[in-house]
Amino acid sequence: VSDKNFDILIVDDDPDLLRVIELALNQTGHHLRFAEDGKEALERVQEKMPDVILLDMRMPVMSGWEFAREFRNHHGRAAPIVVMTAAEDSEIRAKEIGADAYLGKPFDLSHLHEVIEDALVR
Amino acid sequence: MKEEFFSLAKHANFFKREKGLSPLSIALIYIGIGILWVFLSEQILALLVIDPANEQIVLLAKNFIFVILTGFLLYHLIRRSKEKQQRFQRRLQAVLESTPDAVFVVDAFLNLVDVNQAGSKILDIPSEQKPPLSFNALWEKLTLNDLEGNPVSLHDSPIHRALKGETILNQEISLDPSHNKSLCLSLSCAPIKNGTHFGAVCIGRDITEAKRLEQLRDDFVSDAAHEFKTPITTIKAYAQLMKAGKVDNTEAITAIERQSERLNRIVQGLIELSKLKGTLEEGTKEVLNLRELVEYSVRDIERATQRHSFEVTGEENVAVRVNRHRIEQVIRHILDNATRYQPKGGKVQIHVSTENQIAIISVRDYGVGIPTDRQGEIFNLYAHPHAETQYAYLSGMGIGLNLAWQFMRQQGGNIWFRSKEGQGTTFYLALPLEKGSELDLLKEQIQ
Repeated sequence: VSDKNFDILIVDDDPDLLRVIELALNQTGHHLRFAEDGKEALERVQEKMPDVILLDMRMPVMSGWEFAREFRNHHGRAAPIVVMTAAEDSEIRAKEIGADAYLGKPFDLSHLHEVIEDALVR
Repeated sequence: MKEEFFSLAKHANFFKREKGLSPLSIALIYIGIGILWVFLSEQILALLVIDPANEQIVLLAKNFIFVILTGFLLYHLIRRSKEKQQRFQRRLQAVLESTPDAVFVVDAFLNLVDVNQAGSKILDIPSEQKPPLSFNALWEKLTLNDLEGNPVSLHDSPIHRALKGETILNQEISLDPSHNKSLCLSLSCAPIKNGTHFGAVCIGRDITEAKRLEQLRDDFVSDAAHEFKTPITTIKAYAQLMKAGKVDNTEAITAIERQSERLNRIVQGLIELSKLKGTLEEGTKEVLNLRELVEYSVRDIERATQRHSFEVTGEENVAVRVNRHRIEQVIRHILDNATRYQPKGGKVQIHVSTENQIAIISVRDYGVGIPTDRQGEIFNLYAHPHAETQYAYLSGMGIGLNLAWQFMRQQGGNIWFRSKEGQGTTFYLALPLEKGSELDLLKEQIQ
């Protein structure tokens, strides 16, 4: 997997968290794109379909739930979605929106790598 | 005090246990009087001047008097026993009526045969309607659900199960008596046994308020966990990046500091909330310059945000006598809200002014505003005015504004706001000016 460079869309309203993920994934060679809410993420998707979407749930303008619904309605399963959430029932939440994987906040960066690689293999 | 005691003592008779005559003692009284009559009737009749020679009249008189005497005796005994029974019934009725829990009794056909006051209220039975009430009149308008909202059929209800001989303890159900308000009940039902089951008795306790508070507490804990996890995620990630040498130290430290400040504010809110359980103390008051306090708080909050700019205008010297810690917390919280509800960043304008011996701080943001229909509740504890809106994710724990309101009141001040959805909110904090204070402040500055 790591031989190929993938396009990863990261959606979160916390700029510090976006920056952290950027730093963590910088050396993987993947191409990273960012969006601060669901609406912006839909625009990024329109420009180019990413290989994987890292999605926060609580966001302004359009939440992760709404984004996932819209995305599945228009693009089906064109890209796997990895949900990042601090909710206690993150696994259930992830299943509810048809996500392929989830990352419970706070997560280890090593786990972030694993989950992304797994989602890309699928 | 003494009179009150005697008046209470008078009512205590109500609960005195009465020992009634047993059937055996009634029979013994009857036999005793009969025997006495057999022995004494001759002498008594002689006293009544009936000629003992006239045997027929004597016999007739003896029988008549005996029948009349025992008749009166029986009347007296029956009356006493009946009165006692009535008193006992009245006592049971009064106890039943005064029970704060709902008590109701159904017969084998589910007709309501007895219900107390609390029961009538819960089952929404109008006062003019007196039991017995037919099955149709009662159950057709009732909707039973379990607490997850799944309907419970009458057949599976604790009442029906009790009729079949089961005893059910504290089953929680929700009840919708007239389809306009939902009640949570803890219901205990048991069969009324008397050889065979011929009915069931149920006791229902209204736990609606307790359930509401439980829900609030659960939401609060889950919100608090969410609030903590967000900054911890960033701090943890930066620490791991530093360890791996993948980040510039200054950048990481600045971000960690910013997120720590956020954590600190959450903890501070929780500490203050726990303090609320005790009495709210005014704290030591001191004369201070409100403008300085505002600027100090602004500098602090500036470090916690990258996206907002702050502008402080208005009067330079505004003296108030307050508890510094409390007022600082209020100002910080209002500033924090101004940034929180302006998620994309922007301007926060703070103005300090005085008017009629009152100091006013206004904090204006250009954020999402407060939904018009929820504006009345924002100072309530655990309020979530943005719940079920696209900005729900911005909400904190619903403590801060309640605390701010309490602190302002406690310090002799007031807090209010103006807000327009989509355009932003202005909070106003008012505090009484310290008299002759400008002079004092000048003196302090000179010193």
